[in-house]
Amino acid sequence: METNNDKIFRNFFSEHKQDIADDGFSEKVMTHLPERGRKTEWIIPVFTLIGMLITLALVNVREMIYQIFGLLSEIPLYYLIGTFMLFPIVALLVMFYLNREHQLV
Amino acid sequence: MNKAEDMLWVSQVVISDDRRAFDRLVQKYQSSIRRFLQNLTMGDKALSDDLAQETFIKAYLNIRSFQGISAFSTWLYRIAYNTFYDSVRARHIYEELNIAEFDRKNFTETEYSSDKSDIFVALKLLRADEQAAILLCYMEDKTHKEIAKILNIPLGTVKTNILKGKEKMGKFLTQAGYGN
Repeated sequence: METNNDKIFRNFFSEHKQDIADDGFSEKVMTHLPERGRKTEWIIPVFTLIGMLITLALVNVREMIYQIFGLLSEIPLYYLIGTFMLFPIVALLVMFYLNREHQLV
Repeated sequence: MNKAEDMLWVSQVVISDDRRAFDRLVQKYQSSIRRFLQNLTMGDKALSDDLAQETFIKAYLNIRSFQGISAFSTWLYRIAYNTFYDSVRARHIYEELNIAEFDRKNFTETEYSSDKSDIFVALKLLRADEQAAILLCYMEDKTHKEIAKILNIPLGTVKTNILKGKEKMGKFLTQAGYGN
């Protein structure tokens, strides 16, 4: 329940509360905004794609796929299931540590 | 404050580095953040605007660490308070903030403060942590829980600071005729 004292405080602060006009402040902030390093982010996917294309051009793709599936068929099923179940756990751990590194405020 | 609208703009900034979306966030919150910092700096308009600018730049650079658990405004106030606190520490004026001479010098220099001197006289009666808690509670209409997040202190401490702040300010407000 609001006391009389609370009312005095609310009135006092609402009386002294003012909206500050922008007066070019937002524009000033936007002109001082630094780059976030996105200019170099294209490098990773582009070079990965180039690497993939070179690999596909150099190896016999059909033979490679045949060998991979041959290898997989020799591994017991529960090993494979276990391996696939590990992926989300590892991904979560990586995300957790990356997130902790980026916590600033 | 529309939380869904904020989240939309934040996601646009995070995903596609949309500066127009960030501009909207700045326009929406510039008034409240600048007012909060002006009150913390006892009406020093130039200093508070510098701190507000630093606050928004930090927010932009670290927007990916905003998890959306609390409101965007709460996160922004926290950056603003940390920026203010760091600036005070860097300038070695933390102690001096409560010295009458420092306050008088600041709030007689600006148009904003000269019109609103009562609030600075009242705030001068409080310790720095009490000032922040009282301002967030009564000026910025934040809940005790939000204040605890912004100031990074336990909820009990927030309640104590507000209670102590009210005790100290109450007498002045009654004497100044605000109780009538």
